Amino acid sequence: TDIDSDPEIMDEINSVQAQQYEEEPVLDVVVVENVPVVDDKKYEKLLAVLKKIFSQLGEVKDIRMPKGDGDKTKGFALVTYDSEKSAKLAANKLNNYAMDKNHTFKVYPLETVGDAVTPTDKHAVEPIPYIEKGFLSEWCTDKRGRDQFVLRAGAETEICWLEVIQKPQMVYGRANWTEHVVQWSPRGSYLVTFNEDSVGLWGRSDFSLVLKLDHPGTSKADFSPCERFLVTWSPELECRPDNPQNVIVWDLRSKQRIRALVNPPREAEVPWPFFKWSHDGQYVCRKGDGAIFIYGMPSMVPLKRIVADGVKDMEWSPADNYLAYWQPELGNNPARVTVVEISGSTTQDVSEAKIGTKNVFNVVSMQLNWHKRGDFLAVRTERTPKSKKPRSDIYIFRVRDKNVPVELLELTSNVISLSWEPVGQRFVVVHGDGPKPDVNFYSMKKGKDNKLQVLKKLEKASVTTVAWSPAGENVVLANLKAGGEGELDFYNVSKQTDEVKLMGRAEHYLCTQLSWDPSGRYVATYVSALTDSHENEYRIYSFSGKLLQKRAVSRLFQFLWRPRPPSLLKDKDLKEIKGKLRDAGKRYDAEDDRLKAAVALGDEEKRAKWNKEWQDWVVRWKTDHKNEKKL
Amino acid sequence: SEQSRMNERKAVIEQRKKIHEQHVREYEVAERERTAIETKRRADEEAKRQALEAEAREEERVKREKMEMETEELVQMVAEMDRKKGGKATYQEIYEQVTDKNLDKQKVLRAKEEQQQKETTNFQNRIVAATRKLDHFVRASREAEAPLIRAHAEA
Amino acid sequence: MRPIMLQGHTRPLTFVKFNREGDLVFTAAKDKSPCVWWVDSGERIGTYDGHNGAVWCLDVNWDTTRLVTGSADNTVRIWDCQSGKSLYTLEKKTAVRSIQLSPGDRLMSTVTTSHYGNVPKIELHKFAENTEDQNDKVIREMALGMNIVHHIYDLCGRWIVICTEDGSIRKYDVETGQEIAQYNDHEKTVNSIQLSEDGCTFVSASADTTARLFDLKSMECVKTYRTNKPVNAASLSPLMDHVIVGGGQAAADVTTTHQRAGHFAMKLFHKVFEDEIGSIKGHFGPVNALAFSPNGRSFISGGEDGFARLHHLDPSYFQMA
Repeated sequence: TDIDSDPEIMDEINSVQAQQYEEEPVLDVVVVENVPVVDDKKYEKLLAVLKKIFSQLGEVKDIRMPKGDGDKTKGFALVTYDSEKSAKLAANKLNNYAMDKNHTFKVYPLETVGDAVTPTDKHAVEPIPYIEKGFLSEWCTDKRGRDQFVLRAGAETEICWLEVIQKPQMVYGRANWTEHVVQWSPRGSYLVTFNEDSVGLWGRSDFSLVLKLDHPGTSKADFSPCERFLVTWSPELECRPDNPQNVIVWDLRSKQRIRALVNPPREAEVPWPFFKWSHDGQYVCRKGDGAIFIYGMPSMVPLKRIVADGVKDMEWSPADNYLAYWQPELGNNPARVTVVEISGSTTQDVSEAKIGTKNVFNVVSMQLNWHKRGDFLAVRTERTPKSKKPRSDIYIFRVRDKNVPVELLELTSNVISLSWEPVGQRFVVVHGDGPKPDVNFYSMKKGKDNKLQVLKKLEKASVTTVAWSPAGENVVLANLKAGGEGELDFYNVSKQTDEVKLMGRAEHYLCTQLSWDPSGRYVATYVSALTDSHENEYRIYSFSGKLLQKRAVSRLFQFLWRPRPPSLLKDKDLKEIKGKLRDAGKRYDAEDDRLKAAVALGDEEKRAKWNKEWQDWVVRWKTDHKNEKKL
Repeated sequence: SEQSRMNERKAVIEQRKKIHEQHVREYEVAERERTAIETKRRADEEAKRQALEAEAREEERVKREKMEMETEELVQMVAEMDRKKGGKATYQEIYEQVTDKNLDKQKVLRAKEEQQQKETTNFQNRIVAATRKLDHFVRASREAEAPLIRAHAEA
Repeated sequence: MRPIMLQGHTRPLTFVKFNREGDLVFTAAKDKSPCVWWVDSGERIGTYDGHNGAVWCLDVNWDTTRLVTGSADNTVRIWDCQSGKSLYTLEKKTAVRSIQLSPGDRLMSTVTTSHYGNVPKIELHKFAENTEDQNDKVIREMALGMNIVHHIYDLCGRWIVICTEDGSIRKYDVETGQEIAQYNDHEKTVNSIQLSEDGCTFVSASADTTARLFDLKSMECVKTYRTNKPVNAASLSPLMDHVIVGGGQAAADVTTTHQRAGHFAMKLFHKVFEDEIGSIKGHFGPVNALAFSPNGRSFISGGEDGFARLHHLDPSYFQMA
């Protein structure tokens, strides 16, 4: 039997493999090909024969012979030993073992199926071929400090500089660049396109192809925050003889596949992101059954298995190698959140240190919400339905404080969302049971009672989205219900006084998408063609809600600001810049004035030219008309 | 005969006495009734007067309270305006200011509106300034960062 | 500028037309009765009852004594403007999509469609001064094998310009019936064309979301006005360098219902600079018909929502460049 071309056999292998990667790599299973095909009557007999053969090399725990149509077996077997050693021995000794004259076994470890690179430490010491990529962040050195965005409308994709004095300037545009969506890498170095056979990573000033990663039908891509690693997922199973795969982990330095494996080939089933990356790309983890598996990068060596019964979800801190995870109520044990610090880089020296934990009773689910700088961890809990209290509460870990104290924030109704100010220490909670929830502003700054403080409460607000400026202090409360009025309220939460003030209001009818530019100067909203096919338009507002420009773009699907890498400036640099801001400001104002004048002049000139053309045309027409009449 | 005349006369006198007594009794009854009516009337009048007085007192009280409330309201408003201006006047001072100057509500409201207007304008101006400042800061930071980015890329 | 709502029609409006003096305005709708209104007050003067189907088009003669209408009941009717009496009925093979009186009221031309295997064509009839002399005779006919949506005459009555479902605009010589010029750059159906007051230019309205201005003589497109929805009608101001453009997705194409008036806003463009200078909200369905009054101080819009709205422009409007 050719096992590679038989989808049912592949499924069987896949299901074992899927488990394999959820737990530590399974090294104690061998695959045996060329086993006689038998029906139910002879099954037990064959099993006994196999058991006898394979037991010679170690204790056999299990033998499976998958069946196909009817009750006939498929001609291969999966043999599980009690140890890796026995399995390896079996693969060595029993490969090419002749069971009878028609059946010569082919035996190899399951581990080698579907794994391009076996994760061994040997790999880590091999020099990695480095691919030179050029100056990827050149756009960040723009003289006028502008931001970029990508627009995808119809088949066209274009990248523009945002300008507020004049129309946005197109940098690059291309039709049919991608099969479905485009995506920026987290630091903005690459624009990702999804093509039939591959994923394209485009960049540099001319948006040329930087890397092409062959993975047919890819529909999802997830970068590590450091941009060195990429996980791609495709619904199509690539059935190579030794290598079925639809999830691939790439090292973008070398363009090598670090790992390839199989996961449910249906989009709805794939947990995404498939792996969770630590902020610096040193670790990646994955949830297994009752455990979290931590792998060390760049070779993806299995480093550690954190046993946590029933673990549901985990999140890395965006700033430290702290991992938070939660477990539901099990038996008499309450639900629990745990924060551990991971350190070390080899299986020998890796360690986990518990830095905080909280037990909570009568809770069915939790959501982990890290502060952008890793200073706090908010945990939203949902109580069991029968509980008489409101359905949710919030527990906040003060991660930087000694012993990581946990504060409880009790609310009178269900918590809908919690949003941290990215810099600073304020957050907004939307809570309520009806269509018009309440919005509360809080500060983690301790008040007289040594607890976090309420800054303001807005009652019965139509708010579906809370979006903080990446620079903090400003926040938009928006109602982005599909088919709604698109109300946008721009608030300022003073850094000095914590006073919450409404700066401006706007409405963008039908808009469902809102995003801040990376500098915190502008807010973009748009009506996507996915939700509405004819008011497709994007608008740019100032942080205070002043409409700066709007542009109708038919069949607009995506508007994405280009993210920037973390700033290289130190606090002292920033201080110096602030000190000299007055002079620099004068220079920028003068620059802007010049540009404004040029734009106005250009406009004026254009108008004058057009007007003259028109007048000439009218005169000519009239003369012609007169002459004709004379005739 | 004398006896019979005497008897007759006696009878007449008796008769007259009876009539007189009768009259006295009737008079007394009438007098009592009159007194009763008079007393009732007086009582009614007194009650009415008292009711009127109470009403007047109540009115007076309501009026006074209303005035006090208005004054209080004015004092609060003025105090708030003062606070916003950064003043530190005590309640007593403001109270005196309001009562002495005999400020009326309209005046205070107007002043308050003006102040609010001014605040709004100030706030708007502050936003405009903040917008410029943020833009300048971002541009200056990026300008300062550019050489570092270049150096970083070459490294 | 508070528009006057002309309430009287029960179905979507199809066509609107001011008389020459601009004191009256005529409206046609998918209900069976065209209406006539006072422009000043928006008061309805009367209706023309007799058609048995949607009325697609109408025209009024020079001195506002006769009204001609074309209907989906396959007839053309000539009416006495004042009394509302139907004076003459002309039978056609299909619905009548467009009707025009030539300048000087000498000819009446009608457009039929391709229904029931009919060849769509423009047919020219004599338009008799006295209706007793009117007859059914076709003087000349022009057919091009595709559906014609609308047609207009130039001011001298020498040319007919037509627009078609496949997006072309063509110019014909009335005398010879010969095609003189063609324009094919509209990507979708051209829903209407309207002549400027001076007769030098005309403006097209197309489902390709643009309205375009043409030099009538050369048939060159000189200006393009871009919107983000299909354009059903456009009209040139006789007073200002402005073009008003209206339209909107037809109800059948709209997946979500947009009840908000803003969705079907009409846009005002600068004729020469092509930029949008204003937007007029009000209709809650696509705008099907538009016309500026002859003095340019008012305009009328007819909507799919069954309302005609008469807009008298503000003094502030006339201060605009």
